[in-house]
Formats: sequence, C-alpha cells, structure tokens
Amino acid sequence: MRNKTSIASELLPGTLEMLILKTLTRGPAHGYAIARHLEQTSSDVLQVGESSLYPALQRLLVNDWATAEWGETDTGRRARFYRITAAGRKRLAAESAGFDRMIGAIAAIMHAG
Amino acid sequence: MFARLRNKLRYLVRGERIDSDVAKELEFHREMLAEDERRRGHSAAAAALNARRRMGNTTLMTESAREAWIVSWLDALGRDVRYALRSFRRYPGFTAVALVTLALGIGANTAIFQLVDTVMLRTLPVEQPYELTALRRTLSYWQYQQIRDRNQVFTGTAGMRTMTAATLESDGRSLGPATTELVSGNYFGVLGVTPVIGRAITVEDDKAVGSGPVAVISYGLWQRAFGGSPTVLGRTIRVNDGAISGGTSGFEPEPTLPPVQPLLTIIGVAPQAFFGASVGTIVDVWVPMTMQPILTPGRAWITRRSAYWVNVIGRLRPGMSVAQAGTQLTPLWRQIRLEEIGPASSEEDRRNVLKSQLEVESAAKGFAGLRREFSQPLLILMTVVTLVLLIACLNLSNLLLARATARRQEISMRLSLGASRARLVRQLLTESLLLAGLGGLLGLGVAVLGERVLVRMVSADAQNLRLPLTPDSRILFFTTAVSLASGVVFGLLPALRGTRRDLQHTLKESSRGSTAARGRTSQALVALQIGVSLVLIVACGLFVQTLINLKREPVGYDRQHLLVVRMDPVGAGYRKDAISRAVLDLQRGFAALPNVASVTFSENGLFSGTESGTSLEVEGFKPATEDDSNARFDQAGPGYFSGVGIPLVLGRDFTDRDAIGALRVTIINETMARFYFPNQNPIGKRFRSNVPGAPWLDIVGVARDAQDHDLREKPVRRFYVSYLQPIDGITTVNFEIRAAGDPAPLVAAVREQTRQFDPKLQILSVRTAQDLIDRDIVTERLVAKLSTVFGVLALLLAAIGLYGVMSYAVARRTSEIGVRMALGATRGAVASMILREIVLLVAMGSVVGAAGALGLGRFVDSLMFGLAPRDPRTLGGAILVLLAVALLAGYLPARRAARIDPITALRSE
Repeated sequence: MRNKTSIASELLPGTLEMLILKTLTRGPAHGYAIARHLEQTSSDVLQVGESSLYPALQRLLVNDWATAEWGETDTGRRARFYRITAAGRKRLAAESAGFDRMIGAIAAIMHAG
Repeated sequence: MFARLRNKLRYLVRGERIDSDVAKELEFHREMLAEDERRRGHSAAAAALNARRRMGNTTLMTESAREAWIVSWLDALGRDVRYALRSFRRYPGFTAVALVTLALGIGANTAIFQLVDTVMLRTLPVEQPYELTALRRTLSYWQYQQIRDRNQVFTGTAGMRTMTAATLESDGRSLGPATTELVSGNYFGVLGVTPVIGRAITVEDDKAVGSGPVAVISYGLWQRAFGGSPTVLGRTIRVNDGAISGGTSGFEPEPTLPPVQPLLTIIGVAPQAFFGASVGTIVDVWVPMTMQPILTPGRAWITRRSAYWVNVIGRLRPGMSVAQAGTQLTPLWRQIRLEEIGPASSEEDRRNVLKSQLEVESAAKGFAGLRREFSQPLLILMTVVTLVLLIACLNLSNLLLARATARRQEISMRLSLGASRARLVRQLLTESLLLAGLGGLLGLGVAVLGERVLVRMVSADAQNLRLPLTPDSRILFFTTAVSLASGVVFGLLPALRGTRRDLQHTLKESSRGSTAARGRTSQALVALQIGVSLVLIVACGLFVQTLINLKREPVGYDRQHLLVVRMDPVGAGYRKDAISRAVLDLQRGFAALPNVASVTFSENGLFSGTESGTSLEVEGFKPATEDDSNARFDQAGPGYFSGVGIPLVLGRDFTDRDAIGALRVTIINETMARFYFPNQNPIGKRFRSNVPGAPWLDIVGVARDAQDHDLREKPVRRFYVSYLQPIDGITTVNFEIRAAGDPAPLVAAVREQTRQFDPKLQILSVRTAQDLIDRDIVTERLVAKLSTVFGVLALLLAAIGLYGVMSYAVARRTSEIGVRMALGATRGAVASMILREIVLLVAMGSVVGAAGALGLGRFVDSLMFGLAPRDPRTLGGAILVLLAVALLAGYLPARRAARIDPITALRSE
C-alpha cells in the first residue's frame, strides 16, 4: 500500500485551498464530491480529512473565492454546492503560478545532486 | 479587504445560520460515507458506525469551520499588530514623541471632558430623571407646603436646602467639615433613591419641628468615617455650627432657642452614586427639614413667611411636560401669594402678584446653578483641548508622512511583490490606531493626574465646590472614541499618500525627485498647525488679559491690607441692641491689637456674596421706570469709609453718635448722587424706603463709587445707613480690619480676641479683601490658567512640527544647497533662505489662524473684560510670539544647512 499524505499537516499552507479551487473549475460540487475527487485524482495519495476540508471551504467563502448554495444531488439528497467565483479563479491562477515556480525550485534543488 | 470585512460582519450578524449550514453539510457528508460503506457490503448499522468513525469529531469540525471566519481576521490583525510593534521598535524616537504628544492631547481631553460630563451631561442617579422638574425660585417653607399639597402637576414635590459651614462629630470624635442637606420627608421617595442599608427619611420623621432627630449619611461618609460597617445604623452624629447662607430677604431674628445641638440617629446610608440634587455639592448627611430650627439655633426659618430658602423639585405626572408644568403652576402660585399678602394689601402689591411667574426647568441633571455658571467656560476649555489634540494629530500626521517617505523603498517593494494597496493602507492604519490606542492609555494616566491638579486648582479658588469625579465607563468610552478618531485623523493621509502607485517608481529613483509633492503636503500641514496654534494663543492672550484687567480694576480702596472677618452674632444668641453693643465692643477690642491701623464693620461686607437692595421714594424725584426707584444698600459702622479706604467726596463719615434716637442719616455713592440729584448738592436731601412706615433718611455724605460685590459690574446706585440705625434686621456682621503691615499674623490675634469676648461667637470666615475678590473671579482665573497651559502646549507642538519639517527639508535639499554653495552662496544666504521659508509658513498659518480666531471670537465675547475678542493687539502679539517660536525651532535646521560642506554634499549624489 502506498503512503498516504494527510493534507492538513503536510502540505504547504494554502495548497488545499488551491486544490479545491482547481476542483471547482470543473463545475460546482459539494464537499463530499470534492473530497472524493481529490482522493481519486491523486490515486488515493491525498486523503482529505473532513476536519481540514470544511474549514478550508469556509476560508474560500470568507475570501469570496467561492460561493455556496443548497441544492439537490443526482440521488435527490440536499447538499451544499460550492461554485468558484471570478476572484477565486484569479486566486487560483496566482497560486498555481507560484506553485509551479516552487515545484520547479524544489525539483532543481533535489536534482542538483 | 472590504469583501472580507463585509463577510466577517455578516458572520457576526448571522453566525448561527452559518454554523447550522456547516452542521447540515457534515450530516450530509456522513450519510454519503455510510452509503459508501453499505456499497462495500457492510450492514446498515456497521456502515453508520464506520462512517461516524471516519468522520471523527464533528463538533470540533464545526468549530474549526467557524474559526475560519473569525481567526483569519484575527490572524491578519495579529500580523498587522506585530508588524506595527516591530516598526515602533525600529523608530523609537518617533514612537516616543508620538506617544507623549498623544498622551498629553488625549489626557487633556479626557480630563476636561470629565468635568463637562460631571457638570453638564450627567443625569442624577435616580429613577426616571427626566421626570424631575425644579422651581426656579426658592420658597418659604409655608409656600413650599402650599405648592406641595395643592398642585396638580407633580406626583410628589420635595423640598431641600443645603447647610454650609457645618462640622460633624460622632461619639466625641470629629469627622471634619461636612455638607448637610435639610430635606422634606418625601425627598427620597420623590427622587426614587433607596438607601443601600437602613431606611430613608420618611414623612413621619418630618412631621413636626424636632420630631425626627435622624440622619441618612452618604456612602462616602459611611466608608470614610465608619469603615463601611453595617453597625453604623443606630449610631449617633452631631451637626455643629451649621448655617444657611443667602437666598433670604431680611427678617428679624427669632426668640432664642437654646444652642444645643441634638444627637441625630443614623437610620440609613445613601447609594454610592448619589450625592444630592445639586452639581458641585457632595452631600454627606441628610436630615429632616423640620430639624432646621434646632440645627441652626436662633433662626426658625421654617416658621418665617419672609425667609425664602427651600429649593423645590417635583416629579412630573405621567404625560406632563416641563413647559405644561410651568403653565399650570403659575396660577396656583399667584393664588398662594394673594392669600399670603391678604385682602388688606395695596392695589399695587396685588398687581405685582398677578404679574409674577413660577418658572420651572428640568432637574434631570440636578439644580442648574453650577451648570449655568460653568457651562460656557467648560465648553471653551473643551474647544481648547480639542484644538490641542488637533495640533498633536497634525504633528503626528506630518511625522508619519516623513517616515512613510523614509520607508518608501520598503513599501514600493511590497507593492511590486503583489501586496494590494488596501492591504498596506490597512497595515499603516493599524500602526496609527495602535499608536493612538497606546497614547490613549497613557492619556488616561495623564487625565487622572491632570484631574487632581484641576480639582486642586478649582477648590483652591472655590472651596465650596465639590465634584464627584470618578473615572467610569463613560469616560473610558470617550477616551477610546477620541483615541480611535485621532488615530484615523493622523494616520489616514500618510497611509494614503505613502502607498501611492507612483511611489513604485522610487525603486528605480534616487532620493531626489518625486518628493516635492510630499514636501508641499507637509508644509501645508505645518501651516495649518501654526494656524490652529494661533487660535489658541489668541484665546490664551484674551483670557489672560481679561484676568489682568479684572485684577487691575480699581475697587476704590486698598485691598491688600484689609482683613474681612465675618461673624454670626445671632447664632450666639445676640439680638437687636445686644448685637450693636457687642459689635462696638469687639471693634474697640480689635482696634487695640498691635499692627491694626483701623477697624470698622458692616452688615454685608465686601465681596461676600450677600447684597441688600430696596425700592426708594426720593424727595423731589419722579421715577420714569420701576427700576429708577431701586438702589442697593449696606448698613455700615462708625468710620466705615475711612476704615475701608473709600474717599468721601462730600460731607462726613458715620460716627458712633449716628445711633437710635439721633437723626437718621445716610451716605450715598457718586452714581446715586448723579442720578437722583444731577448738578445739585445732595447733602441735606432726603429719601426713604418704599416700605410702609419707613423713616426718612438725611444725606450727610457722598462717597466715591467703590466695587464691593462684583468686579464686572458697572457702579450701581448704592447708599449706606448707620449700622446703629438699621433699616433692616441685622443678622450678621463683617469687620473690616486694616492692618499696618502683613495682615496674615493678625488672624490668630483676632480669633483669640473674639474667643475671649464670647466663646460662643462663631467666626464664619477670615479673609483678606484681595482673597475675597480673587474668589469672585474664580472662573476667569481658571480659564486663564488652563488656556495658558494649553497655549504653551500648542506652541511646543507647533515648534516640534516645524523643527521636524525644516530638518527634513534641509536633509532633502542637501545636494541643492551644496550646489548653491559651490556656486558661491554664502552661509548667511543659505541660512536666511531656510528662515525665509519659515516666515512664509508662519505667514500662511497666520492667515488661517487669524480667520479662525476672529470667527471664534464671538463665542468668548461675554467672558471678556476690558477688551474686545477681536483685539488687534492680542492678534498681533500672538503672531509675533508664534514667529519667534518658529524661528527658534527653525534655527537648528538653518544652521545645519549653513554648515553643509559642498564637496561632501555633491559627492553623496
């Protein structure tokens, strides 16, 4: 079994928000769906605990990067759907640029032997 | 920034809604997990259990979701605060100057506001204060009873009167001077004040003279004298030497009551915040009104129809307004007065009664006497300290602006790294607000100290003035509001200017260039500061000159060496002729004391606050108006005019032969002589009081006008009759003793002489005439002193501001000056260039300040004496003072500029 990474403790601060925003660019989603998507897309490397997911979602709301609305799922349950805002997209762009630079830098150091 | 703030605020308003959203979301999440488990083949129960296990602690999750709303805000705030504190450490000089400036400015505001609050704003700590209504005149006890029992506007009508000069004693132990208030039995009920322990004075206590030898004491006295012990109830106190001053028309003394002060049993303790119903008085002991004849022996005011001494407060019936109460009380008042003067009264008297009004006013804040006297000076002082704070803020604004320029590299860096301008403005504002907050905290300390000085200043001048000054939540609120406001006032402009986009260019630029705009802004700030300072200095000049004019105002006699000794012969049991005999004996005794040049006496004395007046019938004079018949008078002893030092223009002084049985004589002042006998010799002319049966008085002398009661008043018609031929019942005596040298050592001898003459004879006060006159101008002295203090503070702040700006200007222009000097400018030319700029700043500021000073002048007009508020000399003088201070402040920067070495300056380019 591969090592799993708990996002809250081991990723850089702000990364979870970035990942959620990225997820939301595919369309509105509720918390459970976002968690599943992150796990599946990362081939279960990233385990998103509910204890970090929901505070992160609240932070997106606080900063106006996302909005939330109650709606119905395919199976007819009531769930809260998050939708990315223009400000959220801008934020995502800035974050991912920074992230790319950071990854590049880390990779450069790691491969410098 | 604003979106976040808005969202946060939304959370504060709708927090529960957001919490429940999160809770419902988590519930949904758990159901989805459970479904997932079931799909993997678990039983429903096991699936639910697993789902719950996978979810963990949902309460904790709800909480941390909530924290996202609050904590991130606090986080940002915390970061800003930490950043601000770091920058305080980096600029310790600036921080110290800022904090001291703010502490002084905010402290002064807090201290004066506390006075304003206590005197003008605070309502009485009673039930429904706005229902309380005071009568604007004092009544006789009988009139009070009539109003109380017959009016239709009050649910309750309470009477009260404060006694002065009383001392307290309990179980043989002296408790020092105390203010005692005589109150009607319904006083505590009408005001709605419930004692903290024991009971209040009741109608039963107040039923008949002497029926209630009881007392309610103040919380302060309880703590001070009885250690706050509940065993105080049932203990006894004695009120000694009480007197009621002023507010009465003349009347004959009562038949003697033995001057034995009864023991009063303490029945209750008033609440801590309750000091009685008059601002400026802190009552220590409340006693039933019917104890009056016993507490002030010899004066049964309570049965005297002609003694007007009861202050009245009523509680309005529901739905009744103060104005309606006045309208409805006046007919009742006229009815009572008509009954009082009786059917035998003259037509004129009845007409006068039917014209009289019973005016009322709100007593929500207590009796208005002190408020009327001090409101205007207090508002002026409040304006003065506000201007001082404004100067302090302008100063800080300028310093911050200079610092923002010093920090522009750092700020440009952060802007270019993507920090939003709003973020930076917020950060800089956090810094200012934090500075203001710390300054405010220090200011509270300054206020507490300042308050002590203020109270000492006020009470040194007016000993009967006592204010309950205790810092409370209102004061804290005021200080907080003022601190925040000043933080924004001085922080906003530098924050906005310091973060302008164009500053980003400065990364590439040297120190020259784009700073000219800042220079102009800061010069404008300094000019404004000079302008506001000018207003304060003009105000200070006006108040100080008014005081000097008042002090120099000739009173018509030498006030330095004149001792005025006030005694209470009635209280010691003397009546009518016995008073005259005793007073003459005392006069002889005092005259024999060493270092006494002369001794005389009079009823009202000098600047005593007691005045007599009457309406006259003057032989051969036809009054055009009612006022033409009025004159003031005093009853004066033998040698009064030579003794006090008022020159006689015509005729002779009183002698001891001007007594009962001899021709009734009078001496008038010049104003009275000119008015009634223009171009005639008044000697030998006659007049008499309008009272039926009053004797004719023959004029035997004309005296120079003298100020004996009010420095601000123009001389009024005044006449004097012999103390030994009184036209009005004599109740007090004031000895005017002229000392051959310093009057101070005489005081003990006078006291001893009096004690030897009669130990019961009480000396009410011993003061020099100078001292009495100074008390008359206590408000003017206070305003002059404080405005001087604040004027100097304003000057100091303006000097600091100017110094800062000029130093900065010199530093900024180092290379320019270097070039000028390289091109041959002399040191003198460079220095004078800098000083010219200062003169220009002062000139600009003076234009603003002069306009402000002239505009504000009319608010102080009524406080001026001997000069107009638009006095050009004062304005000119103030400008000169400012200019001198400005040049002094600019001297160091100018000298620095003159010493710039052109080589170094150009090399540093």
